[in-house]
Amino acid sequence: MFLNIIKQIGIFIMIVIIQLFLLNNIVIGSRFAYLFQPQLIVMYLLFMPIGISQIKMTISAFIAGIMFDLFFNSWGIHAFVATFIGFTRYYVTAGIENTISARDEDRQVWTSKKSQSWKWTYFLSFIFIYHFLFIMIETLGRNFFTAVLPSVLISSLSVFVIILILENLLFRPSKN
Amino acid sequence: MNSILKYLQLKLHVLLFVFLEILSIIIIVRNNVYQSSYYFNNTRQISAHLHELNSRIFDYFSLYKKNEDLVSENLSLRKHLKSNYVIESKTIFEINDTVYKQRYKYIPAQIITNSTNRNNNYITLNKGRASGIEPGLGVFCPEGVVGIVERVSENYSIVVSLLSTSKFKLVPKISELSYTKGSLEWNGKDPNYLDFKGINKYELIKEGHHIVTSPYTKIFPENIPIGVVSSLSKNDADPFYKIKVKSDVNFGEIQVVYVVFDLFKKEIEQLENEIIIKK
Repeated sequence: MFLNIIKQIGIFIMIVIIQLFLLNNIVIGSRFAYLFQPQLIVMYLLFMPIGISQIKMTISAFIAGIMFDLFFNSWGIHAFVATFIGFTRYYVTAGIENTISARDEDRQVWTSKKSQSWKWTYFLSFIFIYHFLFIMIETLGRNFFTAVLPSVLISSLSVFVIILILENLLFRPSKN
Repeated sequence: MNSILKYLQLKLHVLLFVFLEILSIIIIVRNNVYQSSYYFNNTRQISAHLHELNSRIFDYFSLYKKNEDLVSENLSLRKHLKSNYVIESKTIFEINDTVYKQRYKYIPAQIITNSTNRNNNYITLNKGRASGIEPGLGVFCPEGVVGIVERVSENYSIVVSLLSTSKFKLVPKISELSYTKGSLEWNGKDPNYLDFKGINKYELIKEGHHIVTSPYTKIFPENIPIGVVSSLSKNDADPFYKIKVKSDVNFGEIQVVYVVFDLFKKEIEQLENEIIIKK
């Protein structure tokens, strides 16, 4: 349990570092800079262990969002969206806990237990929801079709790719 | 109570979620300029609409009271109407000035009886000696000269109207030429026209010239209107014009008049008498 928390904090710090030193420094030309706004905090929310209760999940998501806000000066927006994701994610992942093994070490790599298509839809849909909400709140729907929607799509796709890479780096596939 | 607590415990995660979302919305609105301006603009619009709707509804309930207020206001305004007032019987208005010394004082009066169809017409006023009226004072109305006070009782006085063939003659001034000449009489026929006699044929008088009171009378102030020259005619045998003056005053309709009191009259008369005695 305690180890788990340390692990989560370590993952969070890693995500913040990647976001701060890598993703925020990538600029695709000044004209199209708005298209690329990946928010890697989604990864932390999606990789949170499935065994914990919904209340814990919501609170930890809120805290993570607030921390992200502190780092990236987006006061409250990350907190709002992260709380939403943390709250709704429970309904998607609640079934897994019962069906997939109750062993503690397996919970870390529970995403690879599922089929590939489930994983992709899970990742893609939540990433899309996160970016959509985040950019919508940030711009309040100004220039929806010309600016908001393209940047949501491109950011979501890039984050999806990054998450797939990091997942393979962080979690070894289970051997059973 | 217990069941409510149980239910709340069951839905604790939802409450927590809602609480955290509201908290983050508060953080967003308080710390982001764009979002907060959007929020405040829209909420103010909504609240303004609601207030407008509210006032539109509740205006109807206050209509009765508003109506009552309007009626009472109308009543108080009506009390101030001029037609509610009659001239008080014993007032005299004076003008106090430090540069100009007052020469005339005016006593307002109302006409009780009036006539225009006789040879010598008289007007009765509702004021007399008690109000300071004396025989010989001039009487005029806002339109022009009316006559001269002839007899005075305690509370009433009788005025010889301008429409009098034998008792009233006036030396007027022609306003446009500004000289005093001739004499104004009534021939006893038409109350609207007076005869203007004693003007030589070489004078420049024309139709439309205004006839006013002259500065030399002790009865009237200067420039009180009398009438307008309406027709001029010459006769070879007569050295004078035959002039008809249309009276400014419609004598059948006068209601309110002013009696003129010359404050210097006695002083002037005293001086004149001294000269006569020396001769």
